[in-house]
Amino acid sequence: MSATMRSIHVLGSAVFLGWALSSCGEELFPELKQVPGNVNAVGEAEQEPRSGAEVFAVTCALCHGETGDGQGIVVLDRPARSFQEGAFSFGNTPEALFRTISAGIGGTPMPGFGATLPEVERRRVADFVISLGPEQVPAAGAASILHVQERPLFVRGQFRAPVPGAAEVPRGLMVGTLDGLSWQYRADDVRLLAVRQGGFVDRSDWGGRGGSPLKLLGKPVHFLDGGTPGPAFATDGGAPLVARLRSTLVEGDQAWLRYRLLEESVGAFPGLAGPSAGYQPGVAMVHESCSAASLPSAAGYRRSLRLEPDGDPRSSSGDGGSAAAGAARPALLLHLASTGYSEMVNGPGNTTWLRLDDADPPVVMGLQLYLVAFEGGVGQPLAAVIRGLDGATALSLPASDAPLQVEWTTLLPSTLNDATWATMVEEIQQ
Amino acid sequence: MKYVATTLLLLLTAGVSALASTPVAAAAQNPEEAYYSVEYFSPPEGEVVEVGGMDFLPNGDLLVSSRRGRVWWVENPLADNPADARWHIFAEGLYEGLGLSVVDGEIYVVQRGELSILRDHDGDRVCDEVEVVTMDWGMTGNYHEFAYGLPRDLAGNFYLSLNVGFWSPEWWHGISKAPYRGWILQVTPAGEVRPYANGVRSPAGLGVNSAGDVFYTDNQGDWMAVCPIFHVKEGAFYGHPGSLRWTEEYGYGQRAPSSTVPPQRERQQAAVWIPYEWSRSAGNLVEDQSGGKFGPYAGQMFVAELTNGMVLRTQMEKVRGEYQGAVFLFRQQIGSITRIAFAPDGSLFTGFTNRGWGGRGPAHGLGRVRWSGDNPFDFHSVSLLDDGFELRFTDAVAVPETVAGIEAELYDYNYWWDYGSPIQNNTPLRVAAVERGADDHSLIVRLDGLEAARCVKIALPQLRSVAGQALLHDAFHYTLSQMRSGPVSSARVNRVVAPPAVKVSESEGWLHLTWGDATGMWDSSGWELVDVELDPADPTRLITRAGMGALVNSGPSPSNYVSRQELGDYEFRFRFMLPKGGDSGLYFMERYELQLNDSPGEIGGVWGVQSPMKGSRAYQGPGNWHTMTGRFFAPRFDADGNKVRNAKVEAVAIDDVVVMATAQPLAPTGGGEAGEVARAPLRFQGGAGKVCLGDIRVKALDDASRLGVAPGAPALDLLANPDLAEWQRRGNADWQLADGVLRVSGGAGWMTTASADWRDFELRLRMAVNEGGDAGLHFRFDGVRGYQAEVNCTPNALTKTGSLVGLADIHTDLIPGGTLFEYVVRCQQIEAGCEVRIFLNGVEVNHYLDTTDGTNGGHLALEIRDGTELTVESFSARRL
Repeated sequence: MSATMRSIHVLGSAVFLGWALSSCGEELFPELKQVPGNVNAVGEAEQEPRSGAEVFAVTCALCHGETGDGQGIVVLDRPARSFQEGAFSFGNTPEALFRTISAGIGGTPMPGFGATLPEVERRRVADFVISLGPEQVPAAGAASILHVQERPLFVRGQFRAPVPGAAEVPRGLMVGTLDGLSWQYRADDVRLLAVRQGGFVDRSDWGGRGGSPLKLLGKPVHFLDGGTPGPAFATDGGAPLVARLRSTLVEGDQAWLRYRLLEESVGAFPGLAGPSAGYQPGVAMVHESCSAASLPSAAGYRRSLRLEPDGDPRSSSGDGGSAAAGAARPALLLHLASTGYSEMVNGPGNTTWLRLDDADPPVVMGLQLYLVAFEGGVGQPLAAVIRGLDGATALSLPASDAPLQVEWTTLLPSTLNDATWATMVEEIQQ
Repeated sequence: MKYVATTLLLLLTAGVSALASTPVAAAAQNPEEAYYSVEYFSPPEGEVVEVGGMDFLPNGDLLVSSRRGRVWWVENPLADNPADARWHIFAEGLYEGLGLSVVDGEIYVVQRGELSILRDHDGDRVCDEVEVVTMDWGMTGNYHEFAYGLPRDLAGNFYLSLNVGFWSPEWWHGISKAPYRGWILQVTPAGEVRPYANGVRSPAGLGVNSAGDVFYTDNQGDWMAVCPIFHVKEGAFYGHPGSLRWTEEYGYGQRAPSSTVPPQRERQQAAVWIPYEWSRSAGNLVEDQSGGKFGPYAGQMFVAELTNGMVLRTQMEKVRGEYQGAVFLFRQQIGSITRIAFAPDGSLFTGFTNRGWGGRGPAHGLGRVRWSGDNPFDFHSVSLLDDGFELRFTDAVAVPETVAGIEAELYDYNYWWDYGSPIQNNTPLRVAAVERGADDHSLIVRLDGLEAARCVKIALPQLRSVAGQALLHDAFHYTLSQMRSGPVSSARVNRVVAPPAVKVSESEGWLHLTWGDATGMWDSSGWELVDVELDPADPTRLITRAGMGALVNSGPSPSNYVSRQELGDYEFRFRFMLPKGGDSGLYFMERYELQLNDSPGEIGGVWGVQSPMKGSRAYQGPGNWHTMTGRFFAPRFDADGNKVRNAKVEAVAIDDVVVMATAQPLAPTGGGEAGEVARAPLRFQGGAGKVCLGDIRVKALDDASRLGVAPGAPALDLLANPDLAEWQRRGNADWQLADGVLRVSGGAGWMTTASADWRDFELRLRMAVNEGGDAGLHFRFDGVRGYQAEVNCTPNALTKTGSLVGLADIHTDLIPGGTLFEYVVRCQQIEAGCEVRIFLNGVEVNHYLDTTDGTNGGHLALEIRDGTELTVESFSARRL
């Protein structure tokens, strides 16, 4: 990557953050690592952090029981964990528990407390919860288990069929991010298949002759489009675009996938796709990065997609990734869901929120678009235009010659009904 | 005996490969050591470096890609003491990396599914970006679909080679199921993949010479008699038919070429066939461009050899416009070498791995071969003459006075589907004369009867240098594809022969109790699925690490390992390895103990009843993997429950050597359950000492599905009617009934009985489904709902053959694809509900009681999914 490209990433992030803070006064999608002490959320910034036991008694015991036995006074469809048995869904290390407490567990009543508890309290309560359980016997982890430690990690390997009936994925790509989530992509067409939480990857192909599927240690919190998603992008007219992976990049604590969107192309040789993404002009270059996101009442995740106009890579300065000057990106559609939505509301900062009851599982999606100026400018927010498309839901991406940033949040409430939707709308509006 | 590849990864093969051994201290016995020394590097403590690719950076540092998807950065690799080299991980998370090439400072790696450039943007010597050059080739997910590389020609094109896949049970047929498997691909500087040459099988190594010509080595197996070296030429076909699927003739994937009939297609001649005694698994090849720093062989190529653990040397010449040449021993006793690379100082680096295959130790890691500076007396090169060869030596040679000490022979090989080929048509050659060649380093050996399309072996055991030294290696093999003059031969060294008769699947009749999910058919705790090796420092201990090589009772408080099936009479077969002092036992019916301990005087005997034969050397001690086989017969009881015959163990063998003929315990042996019964589970003892197990199989010698069944209506043959009149068919599947055998393929489809009154019945089928195939027997089926007995040999399926889908799933591959088996499904309404019992090969594998409101009967149906080939030899139903 050229120096120019790198500065775009850095500058782009700064612009987004600056704009989001200055124009709304708060972040809508608090990245966990961007909640330093959570100064204003509960108005307790000046207070001494509470002990783990205190936090547990106030925050956790309703569901998990005062002794952590899972017998809280709130009756849930699925009983809460009993910590006395050492039963943790998403890992039993302090770090894993911290992540679970921060981000919640999508699709369950377990909310994320990243926005409502200061980090120190979340860490203390994680330690406290571990102390409730049986004494930990440190199991010698298999040597083939890969952990996400101080930097995000990309792992290429093959997957079993993500869901029954789906195809195996010989070219799989797992991304482990620092927020404890992992992102299961099919590399061939750069499609996110599932979001997982907990452990990362057991490289079981280190045994035998190799060539066996990776063991994915994270529990799935969301299968996108039921685990068998189709193309993500289409032309404004609805013709699907081919996505081709250009590179995977770790930059600081961010993990980026870069991929080109191409018109359907046929290679010169039957059975082959033709010149690869690095060497073929495309409709757009996409930079994608994912992270945890949550509302107080629902956990979920966010995909940040930056679309750049794409020129002929062969004419660029050997980078093959940067936009040719003056090229414009045509209007596109981004596939959001295979079902329609039932309600739409607007939140602060030009966000648009969709209620998708028919999705499996039901989800709430938040969308925020803005154009990113390159040099010294600020992001210009755009209204999200949602389109129904053959019963599915898509987002219109207007043509532009500047990069377009899309912040796409998916929230996974344990139940989605009028009451929980109302709660979420209230949280959104705050 | 041919080296035979074992089976699929998932078959739980024993971890032979994991047995890293320390380098053999054979230096004193190896005269090569005086000229070429071998040193070993020490990767960081606890790290296993399984080398797949190597190249040097412009600054002299070494990059090593590994089968574990890592790239190691080795600083100071040329240090006098290899221990002074420093290692760190440059890249993690790749999918293998069986070729690495540094070009203009850019680091290229071929992963299993992607050719990539690894970039470090911030100079911290850790990869930040993996840029895709291309992923434009097919993969099905088969374990053997390796991609190798990565030479670059003078025009800047990269070459990589794609392994065909191997599917059980007919693992000996390599098959190309995804685009351009079995091909060598050219990747142009513009990033375009061009299918370049085909007919490759297991093309584990490539190399390029200074003329820019690319070569590849294949691995012996089907259609590859032994390991060859081929010149990679556009449009060439090397002999393996699998790849032809991706040609116009086969509709670019529409049709599969025959796995057994030799294709009618001109085959590129091999430049070199390496004899089996020297090479069983060839790796890459590199040209010595050190200008003499590596000894007297500048400009020749060296070849990595895994199984035999050595480096070979080849020297080629162009005859009639094509490469052919000689192969020589070079340096033996090194380790399981997959990759070699010349360092800037002219030393030869050797990368090791043999995981999954086994070979000479070390099994992984890195070594270095250095020239001492002394010239060995050895063959230097060979040049074909019309009537013999001119042999060049590394030193002045004493011209023999007679031809008496010169041995020469011709031979060739078979070109067929069977695994490898023995030497064929071996005939001695008459040595007509020997004389001095062009100078005092050369001899001319004149031979009568040289002919094209043959290999020549010449040995000169009595030859001496002028200084009186014997040859360091006294023989070579020359692949005589063409003579210098006369007509150009269209024959090949590997001659088309009638294919051998079809192999019978060894799997028929057996249940594979540990394939796929190794623990799903067993009750156990404290048993782990791991790779295992004996601790070299303490052979009483096992070193385990993540893997699937063996079942080991290495967890806390291991229980017994007890089958969930009850068995009566059966054959058994399993692999085992014991540490020093290891102690377990195989308890038939959880009662009668067959000794399985590290004691040659006890192992294979029945405890307290019958010792094994004295003097048997079948058991070779701790750390060795063995296969134990034998038969067991349950005791017999009369109608009143009185025992009328004792239990019997017979023909117990270790690696096919019988160690105990027969034993008849009168009662359960020590540690067994009390009392005697007619059927009971199989148990491996877990608590006494350590043991490593693998591939446990049983073959019932009785048929549980026929026990205690009340006589019902006579069986109805559902395939009796040649037009399948009982059945309504729909879908795309092609249903062919011929000679009473139903064959279904060609797409998804259903075959449903017209009658919907099947409520209490027993179905009995003899059938097979292909590897990757998915079918099902539906019953009490109302068109929408019903029960389904699964027939599924898809490797990663969630439900396997024998499952009652969704109600009682089986995750173990009890029946491999392509293997006939007996399937019995019994369904009967009893007071408590609907009872479904499923039997495979005479063993009950599922017994389920559905207490929900059952249906009142329904259709029977046979469903097949797309991509399935189903064979049904018999299909009968009997109402109960």
